This record gives sequence, C-alpha cells and structure tokens, in this order.
Amino acid sequence: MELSSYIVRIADKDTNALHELYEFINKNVYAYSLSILKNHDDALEVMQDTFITIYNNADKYENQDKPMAWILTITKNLSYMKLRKSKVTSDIDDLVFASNDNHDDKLLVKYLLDKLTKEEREIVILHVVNGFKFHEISKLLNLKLSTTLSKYHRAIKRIKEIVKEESI
Amino acid sequence: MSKIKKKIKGAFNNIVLPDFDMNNLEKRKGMVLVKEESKKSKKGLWIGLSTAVVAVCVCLFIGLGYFNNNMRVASTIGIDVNPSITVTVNKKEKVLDVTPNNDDAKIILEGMDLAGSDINVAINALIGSMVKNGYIDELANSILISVDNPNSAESEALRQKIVDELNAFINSGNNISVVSQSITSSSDKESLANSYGISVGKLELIEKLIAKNNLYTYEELKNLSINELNLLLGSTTENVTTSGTASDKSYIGKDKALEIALSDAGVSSVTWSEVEMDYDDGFMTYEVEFTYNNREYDYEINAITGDVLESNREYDDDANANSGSSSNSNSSSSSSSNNSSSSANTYSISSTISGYESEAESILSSINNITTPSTRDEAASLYREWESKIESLDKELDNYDDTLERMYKRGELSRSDYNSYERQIEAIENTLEQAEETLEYRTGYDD
Repeated sequence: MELSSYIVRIADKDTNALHELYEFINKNVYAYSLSILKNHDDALEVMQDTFITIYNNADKYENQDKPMAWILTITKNLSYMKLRKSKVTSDIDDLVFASNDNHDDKLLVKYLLDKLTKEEREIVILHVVNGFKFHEISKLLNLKLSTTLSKYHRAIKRIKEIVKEESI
Repeated sequence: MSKIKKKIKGAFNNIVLPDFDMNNLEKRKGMVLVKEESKKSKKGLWIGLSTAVVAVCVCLFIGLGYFNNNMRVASTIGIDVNPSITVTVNKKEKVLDVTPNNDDAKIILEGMDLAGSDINVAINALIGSMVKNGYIDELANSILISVDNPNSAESEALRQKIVDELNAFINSGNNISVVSQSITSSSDKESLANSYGISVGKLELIEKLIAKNNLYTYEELKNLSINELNLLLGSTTENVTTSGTASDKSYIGKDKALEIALSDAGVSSVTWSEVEMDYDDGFMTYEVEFTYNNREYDYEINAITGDVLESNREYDDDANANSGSSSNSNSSSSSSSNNSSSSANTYSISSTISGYESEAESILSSINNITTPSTRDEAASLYREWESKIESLDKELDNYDDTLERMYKRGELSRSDYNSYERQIEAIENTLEQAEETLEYRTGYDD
C-alpha cells in the first residue's frame, strides 16, 4: 500500500515524503480530529501535531500493514489530550470551503457536528471520510462491532432526516 | 456509495486546509530531525557491570539463601481504603515492614506491630482497625489490594491468597467489597503517584478506568475515594477483580435512577435497560440506557440529587405512522390510501422496490451462509464476487432513488408516497451495508 512506502521514507527523515503524505491525507486527519473536537483551530493544531509525531516516530512503527490506523490512533490520542486539558468549545466558523456556493457543505458539517454524539461523529467520519471498515473502527474506538454498526445507522438516519428537513 | 455518504464525503473534501509548511511544523515542537543513534547498548552494559559488582558484594557479606527467604522483600502489597498502607513481605509471605502513606493510615497503625506475622493475619488486623475507626462502613466499604511482585505467577498467587481470605470474611456476613490487581511499580509511577498525593495502586486503578473511558482525567479521579472508583469499575474492566458489592448507599441507587429516567421519557415498561455509574464533570452519575418501541434512550442522572443532567434519544423517525422497525416491512398498505399518484405508477414502484428488497435480503442471507475460505486467494475472490453484487445493487438503488426524486419534483408522486418509498429504500440500503460488513467478517478479507 502506498502509505507504507511514505512511512518508510519518513523514517529516514525524508521531508519530501512528509510533504507528500501531508498532501495525501491531511484532510482525513483533520476531519477525524474535528469530529472529536468540533473546533477548527484546535483540529488544525492536532493535525499539525500528528504529522510531527509521525515524523518523529516513523522509525518505530513496526507493524507496517495498517499505517492509517496507526496515524489516526495518534490523532485520536492527541485530540483527547487536548479535550482533557481544557474545555474545548465548538467553533467551526473559520472553516473555509473550496468553492463559493458551498453554503450547503458548511451547514451539513455543522449539523453533523452539532446533532450527533461524539462517538457517532467519530464513527461516521471514520467510515465515510476515511473509508474505515466497521471492524477497524471498532478496534480503534474500543467498541463492540454491533455497537459501532448500530450507532452508525442511527447517526446516518438522523443526518438524512436533517438533510431532508433543511433541504440541504 | 449512497447519496448521503457522498454528500458528507464531498463536504469534508471541500474543506480548505493550510499548505504544508515545514518551517511552521519545526517551530511548533522539537522535531527530531536526525535519526537517533541507539544509546541502548551502552546503557545496558553499564547497568550490567554495576549490578554484577553489587551482587558479588552481597554474596560476600550475607548468606544468600537466608537473605532471600527471610529478609529480602519478595512482594509489596498496597492497601487503600481512605488510609493508604504499604506492606512488604518476604518469600514466606511474612510481613517485613508496614508503612503508613497518609495521616489516616497513621491512625490505623497506632499501637500495631505486625512485623513477622503472616500476611493474612496482618490484613485482618488492618481491616479490623479500619472498621473500628470508621473508615469502612455502610456508606463506603471498598478496599483496594495491589500486589507488586516482578514474578507474575507469585504475584497472582499472593493476590489470590489475600482475596480468598477476604472473601471468607465477606461470606461470614461482613459487607465489604474487595478490588484487587497485580501491579508493577516503577520510579516514574511512584513520582507520578506522589505528585497526585496517592498510592501507586490507586494510580494504576485510575489508569485502568481511563483506559476504559478516555474522558476521565487523572485530576478528576485522583480525588475520588476507592469506593467511588469501585462503583465506576462497573461490570467490565480488565485486569482488575472485584468481590462483594461496592456500597452505593450514599446515592439514590440504580433502581431509582431508572425510575427517574423512565418517568422523564414518559415511558412505563421497556424491552431492555442498563444502568451504570459514571463520573462526569465533578459529579457521580448514573448512565441509564433503555429501549422503548424500538428507539434507544440515554440518560445521565446526578447520583446524589436525581437531577436529569442530560438526555438523548434515537431520532424520532416518524412521519409515517406505519413504520415500526425498518428492514422487513413489506407493507404496501400505506401507499394506496389518500394520495394523488396514479395507481399504475404506485403499483409498479412498489413492486420494483420489493424486487430490490428481495434481492438485498437474498444477498445478505447468502453471505450469512458463507464459510470462511481456507486460503487468502479464495477469500479475496469470494469477497470480490459478492462485493461487486452488493455494489451493483447499491448503484441501481441510488439511480432509482434519483428517479423517484425527479417524479416527486414533477408532481407525479405525492409527498406521503415519496416519503414512504424513501424509507423503504433506506431500509434496503441498511441491509446492503450490513451485508458488506458481514462479507468482510465471513471471508476474513478486507481490501
């Protein structure tokens, strides 16, 4: 898998590889952190810290076949540490979207963050944005598979309803 | 991928993030720019040498056998209630030393000389003193036993011995709850524990709770009593064993908490419920979960006052009064009443959807019957075979969904009919998601 080759190069302190990795997955890392923190600036910080941690520790990453799980575990831990240190308040006003008529995108992200519980947000982002399978999500979040599935379904249902009601 | 997933994925993909900037990253935190030389080997050699020297000295001065069995600390046992006490024992499980770790412990130990006694005798004496001095009572009856012995078999055996003795104590009518664990101390842990003003045993217990629920913090939990920590352990915490029941008499009790939650929800009898104690934001709370009418409810209740702190329920998915649990309802009764769609339309749409439904169900049930293939190649091809079936049905469903939406917008379909069809399609999509997950499980393969 492509990711593993980046990790190997980063272990040799190849900063180009770090740059390429950043271009590849920065949104995935950011989105997951945002699902935990609901705060744009804090999620950005965690994203940067994640890449620093990857850079510092790539040489210790031995289990080379699930690099994304390793990376998002780092993101998860950094996000929770930030959450613990101070009451992080929800703030996504600074979020910028790619094209101008993306009022809907911003609303969707806002509703997703506001109307779902933290676990539901994590599960939905990990599955939809990061493409994680549910059993991978269960492992990362320490949940039973059945719990992950039912929370996911519940969350998607709720979002669908909101999308319909608000005509997003 | 279903429409809603596409929307969500699209929205997040559109977010603009700052460009990669190495300088910025370097400024944030010390980035390790150069590969570190392994310093391990040098350190190991030095430690090895110094240990060898010490060992020789000891051998010279003290008969090794005698020393080992009678004077060397074999295990360290931490006892925490409110008082915190450390007991060291030798290999024969006789007490070498008893140290109070806080003022409460000093009170307990007053006038006691336990050196030389068997560990169980000592523990009995200590607990007796705690009961006498009111540290263990109806309202708080939990004791934490932490055994530290580098040999895990010995550690376990000692822990079990102590727990058995205390269980006998419980069975003879004393209402205490024993929490026990095998731990490994280290100077780091000791200094961390010291900085919090707690014992290493309590620190380890707190770490286990944090591992179970990472919203907990050291700062919050260090101030809780052993009894409160015991209540938080609930039913499933790894590497900790408990006997007896932690006293919850200072609180309203699980039954009352459930009652409060049900009454707030306006619900009387439920299919399933679960109540556990939790700690949130400075309060001991009850987390109450229950299912009523196929909807899940979640309550957080202040364990002392009974106030409802938070409540959540599964979203009220109900414009269509006929929808119970989604997946298998083939009820076409809803669609043929009070609508303005032409009956020909209605019939063909219903039967198309039913067709998709059966297809999805048949895929799911075939997948449920898969036996895990023996080689990875077989698993891969089996996976791909079914994955493509799932994907093509998903795509058809998506397209049909779009078709219905167009019909609705053109006025060919009434709102109630459209909603009802949407719900059915959602249910089929759920079935397909389930099929996909089961496929991964059964084939033991994932992309």
